[in-house]
Amino acid sequence: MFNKKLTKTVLAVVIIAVMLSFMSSFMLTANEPWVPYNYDWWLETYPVQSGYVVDRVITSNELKLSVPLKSPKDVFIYEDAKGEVSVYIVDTDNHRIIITDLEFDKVRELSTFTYGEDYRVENFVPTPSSVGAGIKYDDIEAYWDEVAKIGTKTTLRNPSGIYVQDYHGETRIYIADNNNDRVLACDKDGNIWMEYKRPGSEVFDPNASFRPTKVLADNAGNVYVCLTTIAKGALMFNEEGDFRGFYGANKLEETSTAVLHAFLRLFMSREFMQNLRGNSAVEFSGLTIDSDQFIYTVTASRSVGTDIVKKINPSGQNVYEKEGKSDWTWGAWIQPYVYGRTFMSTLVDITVDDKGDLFLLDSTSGQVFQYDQDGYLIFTFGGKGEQKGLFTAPTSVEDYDSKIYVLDSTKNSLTIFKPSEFGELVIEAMGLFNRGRYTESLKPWSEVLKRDANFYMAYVGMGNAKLSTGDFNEALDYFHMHSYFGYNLAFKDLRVNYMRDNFDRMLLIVIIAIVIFAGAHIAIKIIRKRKG
Amino acid sequence: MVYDLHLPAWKWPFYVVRHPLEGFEDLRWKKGYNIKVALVMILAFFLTTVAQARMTGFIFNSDFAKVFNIVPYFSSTILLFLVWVLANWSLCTLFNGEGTMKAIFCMSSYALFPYIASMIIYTVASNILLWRERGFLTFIVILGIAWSVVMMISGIKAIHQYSVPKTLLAIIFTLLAMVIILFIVVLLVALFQQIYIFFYTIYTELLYRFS
Repeated sequence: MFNKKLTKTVLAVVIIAVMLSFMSSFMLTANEPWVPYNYDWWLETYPVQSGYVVDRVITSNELKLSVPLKSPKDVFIYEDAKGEVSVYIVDTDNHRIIITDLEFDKVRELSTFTYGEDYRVENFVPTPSSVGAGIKYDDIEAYWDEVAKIGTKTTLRNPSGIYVQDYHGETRIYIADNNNDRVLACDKDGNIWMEYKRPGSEVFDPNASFRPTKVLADNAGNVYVCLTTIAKGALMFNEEGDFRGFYGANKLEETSTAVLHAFLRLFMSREFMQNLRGNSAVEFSGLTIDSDQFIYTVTASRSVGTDIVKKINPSGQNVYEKEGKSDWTWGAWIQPYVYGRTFMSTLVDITVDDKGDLFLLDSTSGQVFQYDQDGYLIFTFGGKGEQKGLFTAPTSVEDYDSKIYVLDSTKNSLTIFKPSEFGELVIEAMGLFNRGRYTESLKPWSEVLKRDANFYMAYVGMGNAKLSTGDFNEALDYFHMHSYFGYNLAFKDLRVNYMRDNFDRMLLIVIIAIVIFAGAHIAIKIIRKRKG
Repeated sequence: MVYDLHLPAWKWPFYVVRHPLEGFEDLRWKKGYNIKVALVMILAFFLTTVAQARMTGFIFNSDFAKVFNIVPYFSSTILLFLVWVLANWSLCTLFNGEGTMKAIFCMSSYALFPYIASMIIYTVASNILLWRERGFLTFIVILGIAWSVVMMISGIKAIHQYSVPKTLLAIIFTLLAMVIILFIVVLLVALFQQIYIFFYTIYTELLYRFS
């Protein structure tokens, strides 16, 4: 007989167990509002596991601001010499800079700046006697105007970009002060020590305006300024504030369009040619610098296909061009399996993390695209929409400590993504993979494949791991449909091994075949002779 | 060297391949045309095209292996070949060509022989060679195509008894005629589709009225 109490207990246990199992399955379900995807061998999309999840969303409320953020354009995360980390948000329409820490507790505003005692005006001190040798009276007036600025205060007007640098222990802030036509360089308390202004008309188009959008500085103190009106590249200033030329211009498209335009130029009017699209190189939308002083630029234009992302070495050459990635498609492919200009991403900003991964921000789809050093897509996250982790007008992306910070200028929020468990696994494997430690990366890669059998890079990683351990057959299987290069390598080794093992047998077969054929030939001849 | 030209039908393709310039004259003289051999050749053309797309080694393969559709292969080999034969026949009968439809059909299929052979060699070799050794494959393909083109020209010259300039002209006009035929075929298909849709709408309309 069943004991009633026992039955009840058993029933309760079963129900709780069932509920618990359901709960755990609920907990395992990803709840990101976007569908993470990647591209397969034929550039068709397929869903993958989420590599990043939303960590926090910071709005004006979290920052406890009395005046809320209004269309912020740029964010920068800076670690000073003491290891103190601060987040700089350019609050464009409120004409100020918000400075806070990584926990977003201590918030500081920077809106008024003072021309400091060490404000550097010009290299030379003009006197009336030096007038004549290329120096005019206007220069002298301008000089004394500059000197008179010392000690006075100034404000920003629609700042749109910021860069903060640790220069031999001191903090240097560079602000692209868009509507004031200048780039301010100040210390962390707002004491200006330099203003980068419009260069003289002999090198700079006098019709073009000087509205800096993004700014960057390298270790040598050179400053790179992005203008929307200039397609010749970024403007490069040296530490003294002198204009040193244009830096890293985008290449002209050398496709059939260029040939067509050259042909049209023979008999078309100047106005017609000026209205043609794709006739000239286009300006950068964002730029960043990595720890090895390589500068990365990104171009937002959707009418060109060349040099969308560039990696420029300190001597000004595009590394990606040498690697054949000049016409590489970055961002989303709308039509898969159609080579050429099928991308419709508007890439507005770029950041490079300490492992060398590229994060591109696409304002059309609201997505962040993570690429590895070789330019292979690893993860996509984010999207367009109102939910947490989606954006309406993303403007800036930044990374710190493997977290990704995305600023949205209409939602007035800063969204922080962190790697999911799966993402951390992939990052670990990618780290080993990129350092060439293929054998060690075998374990994380196989774990990745266990969780997501579709993960593209895992196949390449597994193939390389198998290659390094000498399992060429398995390597071949992993590389199939994933890497021409790896397949070629594995196949080469496989072929060499096969030849080495079977050469004697093959030689024997060839000799026997020759003997048989020759014998048959002679036999037929003899038979024919006897018949004839 | 004197050749014994009393060849069985299946040996003629091999003979004309070894004598690309004079072989078709002998073929015409001996009336070595054989529909069965020609059909086997065209079938081989079709099958090797499919095999090349599907079985080429991964390093050299650019095939979209996710979806397999036989129709494009069929239309780019057998259909195109038939259109070529039709266009050449209709053109050359007007321009004093001596070749019959059977002659053109057999000659053209025999002329494909080197190309088919090169495709087979390509497919097998691509599974053995590395990317660095791709020059061999390019060489084989170019050789096969060039040989086939030479055979096609000399074949048309022989069966229609044309001079060389007239042969080249005939080939150019044949290609033009092919384009026109294909254009008309596409037009006809579209038209019949419209007619079919018209009658089908009447049918459905009646169905709705009387039910």
